[in-house]
Amino acid sequence: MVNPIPKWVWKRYALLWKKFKDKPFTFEEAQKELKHVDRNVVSVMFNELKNAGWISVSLGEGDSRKRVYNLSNPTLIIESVKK
Amino acid sequence: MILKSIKTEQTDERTGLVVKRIITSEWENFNRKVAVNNSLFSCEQKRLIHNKPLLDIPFQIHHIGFKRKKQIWNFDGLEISKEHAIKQKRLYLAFQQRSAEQWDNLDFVEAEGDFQNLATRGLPFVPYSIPKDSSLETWKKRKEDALSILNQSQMLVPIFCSKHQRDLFEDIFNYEFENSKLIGVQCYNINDNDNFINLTKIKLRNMRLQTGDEAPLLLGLSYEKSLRGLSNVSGSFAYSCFGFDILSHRQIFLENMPVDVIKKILSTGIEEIMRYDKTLGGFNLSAEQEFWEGINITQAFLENVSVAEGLTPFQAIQWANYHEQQNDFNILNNHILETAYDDKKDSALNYIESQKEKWSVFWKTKMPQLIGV
Repeated sequence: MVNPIPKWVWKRYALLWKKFKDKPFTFEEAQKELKHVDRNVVSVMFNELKNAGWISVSLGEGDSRKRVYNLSNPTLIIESVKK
Repeated sequence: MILKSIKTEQTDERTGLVVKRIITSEWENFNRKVAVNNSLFSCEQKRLIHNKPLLDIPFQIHHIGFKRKKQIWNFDGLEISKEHAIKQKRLYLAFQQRSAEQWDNLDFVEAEGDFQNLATRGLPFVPYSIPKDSSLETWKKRKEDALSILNQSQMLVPIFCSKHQRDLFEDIFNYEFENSKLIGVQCYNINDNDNFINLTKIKLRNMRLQTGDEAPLLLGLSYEKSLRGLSNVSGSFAYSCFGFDILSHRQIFLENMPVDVIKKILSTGIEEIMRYDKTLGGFNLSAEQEFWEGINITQAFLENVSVAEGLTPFQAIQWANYHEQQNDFNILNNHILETAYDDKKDSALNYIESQKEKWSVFWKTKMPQLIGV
């Protein structure tokens, strides 16, 4: 189930998709990419994306304390909304 | 101008935010207003020279600065700003803007002296700063003494420090909540525990108001304009979340600054000026604008400002910042009013959580969740 996300989250999602596509990335890598955005903003943004089904989270290989993120493909998201 | 009544119009259960109707002998208005402060008053003085319209806001707050070198309060400009406020039919309050250190050292000898000084200056609303370690019993006695020297047209305005001793704050604040029409709070860092707990107590008392209840007007004073540690969310928004109705951020008095700091402030370039962005609900700088929008919005704005408007570039930005923040508050008020309808219960919460990045992040990371309170 995929839900709409706020416009400000969409803008950040678009920038991350441009960089990472469906490849995994970490919180720190995302923050580095989203210049001028602090940890609080990234945390809330990831939470919004997760709750709306636009991102998946898994445990890091070798270090289960780390989280690794994967964005959902926008085409699939649109398809999913159509259904 | 006579302050006749302040009544609760609507309390939103989801956010705890309240709309109040303020009735004076001159006008009726809702709360959630950014007051005309010292710097905006300076802008207005320039606008008057150029015959340009002023701000359509019925509140003016004059921050009285402290001259560190001479160790005295600076009352220059008080009469002029008061007369201006009267002409503009504004509710006017002047108060001593204290630093955190001044609050630490404040006792009743000094507080009463400052109160007496202002009481003799013909002010209709006379502030009384309550020392941080005052209990309700001590304050009641002092207040009785203070009221005895006011004339019938004057009203005492208790001014709290948000860092008031935690175990004493609730009693004394709630007493004033029931007994005063205006209450001021000088606000310090939200990230400090004592502050945050006191501010939360203010919110919890305020959100118990029900439609039709008489209510005091809560004045949020001297907070940071932009909360740097909290993604640069607008300070006015952040403190309004705790129930403040009229807002006036901290004023900077250059005369107290070292010469090199003054030079630095005066030579601030466009790229270093914080601009309020209504899509964010907070402030940003040129570099951030260029990264996200592909354009330096501050620069583009200034290119469209006419010299004939009477403001310096820095003042023009302050003026625009003011308008955009107030517009956002007006929209928020409308959403709170809508929550009176069953199918619009989430209207204000949705507006905060989904329309503006910095509002949303502040709300979700700093505000206590109220469901079930």
